[in-house]
Amino acid sequence: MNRRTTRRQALKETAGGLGAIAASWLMHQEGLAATQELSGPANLLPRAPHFAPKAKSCIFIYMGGAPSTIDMYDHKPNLWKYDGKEAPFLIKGRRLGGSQQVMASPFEFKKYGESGRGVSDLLPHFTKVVDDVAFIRSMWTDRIDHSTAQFTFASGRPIAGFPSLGSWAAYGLGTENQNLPAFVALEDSSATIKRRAYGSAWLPPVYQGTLMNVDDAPIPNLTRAEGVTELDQKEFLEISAELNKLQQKKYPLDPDFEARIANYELAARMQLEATKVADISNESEATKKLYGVDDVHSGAYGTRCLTARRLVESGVRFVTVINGEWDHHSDIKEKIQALCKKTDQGVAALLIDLKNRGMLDETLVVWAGEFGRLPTIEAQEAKPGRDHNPYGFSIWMAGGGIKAGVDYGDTDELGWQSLEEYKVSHHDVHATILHQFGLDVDKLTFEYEGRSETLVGVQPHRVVHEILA
Amino acid sequence: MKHYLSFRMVLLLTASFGFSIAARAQAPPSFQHEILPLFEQRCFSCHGESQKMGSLDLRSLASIMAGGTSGPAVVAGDPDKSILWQMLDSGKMPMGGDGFKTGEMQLIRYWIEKGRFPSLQAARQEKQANKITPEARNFWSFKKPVAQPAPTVRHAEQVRTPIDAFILSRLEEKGWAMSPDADRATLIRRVYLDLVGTPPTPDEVLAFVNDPAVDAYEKVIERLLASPHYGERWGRHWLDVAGYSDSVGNAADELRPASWEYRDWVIRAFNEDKPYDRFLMEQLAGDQMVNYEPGTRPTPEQVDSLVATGFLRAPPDITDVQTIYQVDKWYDALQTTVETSMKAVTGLTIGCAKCHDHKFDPILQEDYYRMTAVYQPVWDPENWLPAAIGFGEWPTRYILDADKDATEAWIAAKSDPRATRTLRREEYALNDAYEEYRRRRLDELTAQRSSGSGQSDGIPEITDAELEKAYPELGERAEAFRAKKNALEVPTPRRLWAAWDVSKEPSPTYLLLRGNYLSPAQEVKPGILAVLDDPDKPFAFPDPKPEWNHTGRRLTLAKWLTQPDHPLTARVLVNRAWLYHFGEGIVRTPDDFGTTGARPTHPELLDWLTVNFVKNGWSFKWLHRQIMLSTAYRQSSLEQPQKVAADPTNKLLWRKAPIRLEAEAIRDSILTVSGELEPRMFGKYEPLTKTSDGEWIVDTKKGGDDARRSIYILNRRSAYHSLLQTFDAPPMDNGNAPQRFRAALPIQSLALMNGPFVVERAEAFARRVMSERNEFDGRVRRAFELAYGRPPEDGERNLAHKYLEDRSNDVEAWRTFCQAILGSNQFLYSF
Repeated sequence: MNRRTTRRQALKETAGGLGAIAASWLMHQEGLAATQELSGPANLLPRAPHFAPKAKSCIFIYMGGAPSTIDMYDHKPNLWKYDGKEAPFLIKGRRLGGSQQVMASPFEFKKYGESGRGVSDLLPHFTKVVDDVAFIRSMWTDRIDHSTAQFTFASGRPIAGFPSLGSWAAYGLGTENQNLPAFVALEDSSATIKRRAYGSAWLPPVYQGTLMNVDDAPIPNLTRAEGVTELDQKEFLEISAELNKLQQKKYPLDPDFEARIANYELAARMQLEATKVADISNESEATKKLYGVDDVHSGAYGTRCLTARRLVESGVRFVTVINGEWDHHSDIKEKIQALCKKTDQGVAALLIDLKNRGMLDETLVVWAGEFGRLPTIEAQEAKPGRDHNPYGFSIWMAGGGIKAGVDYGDTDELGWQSLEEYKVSHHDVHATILHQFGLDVDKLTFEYEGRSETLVGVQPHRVVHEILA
Repeated sequence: MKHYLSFRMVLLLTASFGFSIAARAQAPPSFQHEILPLFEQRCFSCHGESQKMGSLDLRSLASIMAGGTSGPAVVAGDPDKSILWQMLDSGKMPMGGDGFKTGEMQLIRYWIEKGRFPSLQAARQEKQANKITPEARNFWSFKKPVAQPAPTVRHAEQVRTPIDAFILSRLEEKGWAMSPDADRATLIRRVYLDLVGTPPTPDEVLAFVNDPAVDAYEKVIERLLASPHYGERWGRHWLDVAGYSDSVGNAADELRPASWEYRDWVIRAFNEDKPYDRFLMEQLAGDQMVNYEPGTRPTPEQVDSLVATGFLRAPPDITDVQTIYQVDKWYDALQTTVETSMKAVTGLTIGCAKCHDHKFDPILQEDYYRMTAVYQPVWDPENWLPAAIGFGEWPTRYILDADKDATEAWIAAKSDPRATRTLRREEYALNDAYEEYRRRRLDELTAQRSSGSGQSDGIPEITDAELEKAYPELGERAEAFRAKKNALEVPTPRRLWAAWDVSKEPSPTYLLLRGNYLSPAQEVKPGILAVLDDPDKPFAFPDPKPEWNHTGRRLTLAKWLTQPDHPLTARVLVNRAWLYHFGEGIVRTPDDFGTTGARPTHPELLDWLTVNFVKNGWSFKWLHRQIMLSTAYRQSSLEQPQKVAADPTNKLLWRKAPIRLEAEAIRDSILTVSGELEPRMFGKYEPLTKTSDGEWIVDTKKGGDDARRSIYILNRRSAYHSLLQTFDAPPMDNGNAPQRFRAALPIQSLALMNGPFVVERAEAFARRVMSERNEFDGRVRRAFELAYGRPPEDGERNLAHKYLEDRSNDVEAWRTFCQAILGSNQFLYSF
């Protein structure tokens, strides 16, 4: 596949027109998975992966701004031993002459679950699902600022302009519900890299993520504009179809025109289906309570998590839930507390809910920020914070063929630097996620400017088999 | 933690994971993250940018290895033999101030022992000329274009310009000829959309259809080429090529305050038909053409040429706002600029050669760094110029069009961050207040309306100014804020977003092994691509003359690129013009003229056009005339089943294939048909705001004008105008986007079906039709003539009767009908 043949491109975008879309739709309706070769035209029809997949869909909970995992679920008892004192070894951070004074977590850790893992009192809900996740406790990146680290995590490169992880997944696998986008982003207003976290760059536009709102209209232009009645819209669709069919008589062989006629029908179906998916009112009270959708703190975020579940349930391949508020340079105590209050319940509820519905096995859930935060104090103020720490941090993964209860890797005694032999990079995480989808990151290629591009490019990478079931 | 420990144990006991069991000591320190900051604090004042005592510069690995008067500062792997270590260890350095702490000393020693160092031995001594084979030099696009005489053809009656002869000769091999001319109504719509990006008015169509003059068609083309909107249409094409954007490209994606002046420069250049060689030279080296002296106020004559170099500043450069010390981003900015501009001008993607010799094209890694050396005086990783938007630092990447006093006053004002911060806080509060009052006003108006005293047709947008009038207390507050802002704010002098050589003596450029700036190898001098060079008489960059305020490198490059017989420059441009007129280039990979790219479908035609384009003064307008006066261009777009089957993508140009309009042309055409298009040209971009359902639209509340042509809307990488982006306008995430996607996506249908912009324009269109014609048939006719440039056909008229006849005064019904017209394929395509 190549972007250079625009004409053919147009053909590709359209999946061979109405026929193919309808066929796939019908097959979907009948519960059959249509599969086709990857080398086919650019479309969202389901495709066979490289090998048997463990996960059908992925929910990537992206905590932008770099959460301080040593305050959350990375219990480092020695932090208390050195609290307020100089670190026993040189702690390097972003700043020259950065603080060497260790700051213990202001939160209390206890052991939870059968795995007996330490979780702080920031995450009361997470303690209930702590046995369901695998931790990678030795994450590492060579990117020390948000911009380049976030782009790397979103798209495998430190700069914008490369297809995002979800776009690669959509490109590799297509999707099972042609009436919904293959890849959906649920974004807080705090998210920073925005569109570029779910853009398709030079992959064909069908693979780009669609931004979905949980409050107002779920997808831009999904609802009728003000002053337009249902009847108006029905007439619009009829007249459009008539006008386009008249035009098509003159150009019966052009697949573009056929595709555009089909797209109006598809848009109308999408309007119904996406609206339905975004409407959580028919969820049971128990479910709503589980996610805390009516709670003043966790309501908005919980609704995003619940919507994420509804999306994968409806066949969406990849959902990314993006927040960007974790950059706690000062006053980390207050800020992280408020943020955990906002996110903890929804995230835990998502795992519980997926499990209860028997969906967790085939839904990969990833919780991650672009890096972590230093064990030392930043700024000798009354309300101190922590500076960036790309040298060592943690993320977790669950479901979708991940081995629950595994801890992989570790950092030094203060949680600063990952142990060399266990280091895991963003690229390793990418390779692992695609692996769970049955995709080999090196084989999922796209020809661009004469190069066979992949998600990871020339960066070293490996599947973290140690956390797989 | 039990589980955790046991798993670690398992890991330690099994050696099946492919990594060493023995715990390694700490990884070697990173020069960039760990060592450089140490040197920066204690060494740079004497061995850095301002001073290089003992000729030693510690700011890059390369300069450390190059060393100073006593030789290389570091012997890789051997601290005791390294002068740097000897000086530190003996306490001779750092001179004055604090020494390094013990931990830091250990780190430096460990870095010398284990760190990664460049091999300064020239790794590749092979004569580069020998690496380029004669076959490589003989590749079609690397050979000079030669114009063959136009071939003789059988269908001589179809030949209007030499273009036709070249196309016919290929068609006739198959026994084909060109399609007949399109009818006049179709043709004039095609020509308008092509040259000005909006459809003709019904009167213009009528005048052309009924014009008996033999040169009726020529007159239309001349009129459009003289239209100021021609520059807006074709300027946008060039902005795609340049990768123009108003934002920086980092995560937060800040705006560049003055970037839009370059956009205006491009529009003007097209309108005055600036010869392409001159057009390019100014963009690549305008500063050097006018010998601009850094730090001085540019003369009025210099300003224009400096603005032109905005071309070089278009690609993402996250150091525009980045204050963190990170060398990699400097290299990113430098290299992205080199790659983008080379792709734009030569149609070659040289990015591969950053890490190794190009696998497919005869482009050497040395070539890549030779090109880099040309640009390095502007983006010098060892003398990096901050952009410092919003700060008072000086000099910055903006040239201030101001004298010394004004500049200093501005810097002083900008340098008081506290005052600015307070002001900003007040501005936020004021903005909140506007919103609050706007809500209140809305409630009041709604109440008025429901009580019957207000207007009946919707509540118009409430501007800030109206609010201030309606609520005096808000007005006073806003006035006070403005006064304070004015007092505090020394007027910002005009800032020029330009590129210029920071120094006449830039740091050396090294070939970077595997593209890694931490692994510099041999030094590389500025130069051109070896495959285009003459091995017997290599192209040389002259030493700068004493009277130059610059290195002259980019000017030399620009002169080389614009030689009349350059194999790529004019060819690539001619092909781009062809692409924008026909929907496909003669070379169907307009950005890959290398070996992996497509071969020209009509090589002789491409060369003929190229040579004559140059001969005719590199004139765009000459090129448009040649193309548009040809029979090939005037052909009907109708399908012929046999030919569609044999040549589905129209490689032989047996017809003029329909083209879906670009995003801007769609939006501008909608505004034209609705009668709302605001023709005002130039100036600062129209700002954007995000709607509650996540769409980016023109921010009319903050004074944005949503009726202007799309080219004047803010181009922000992270937040692009949604309707434009939906129809494949490129947000320029990285580099440029000379060839757009033309996707057919359901979200496009959603935008046409439900998008408020389209619905509002459809209503204006409906009202226009209803007010301009009184009787039903006239209205129907008017609607189709405005949108399609022709009267309705029978089926279309019947459809109108079916839906509208019994509701001929119903605005909503007409709106729905008009909206369907705007969303129809007949409207969205040029035929």
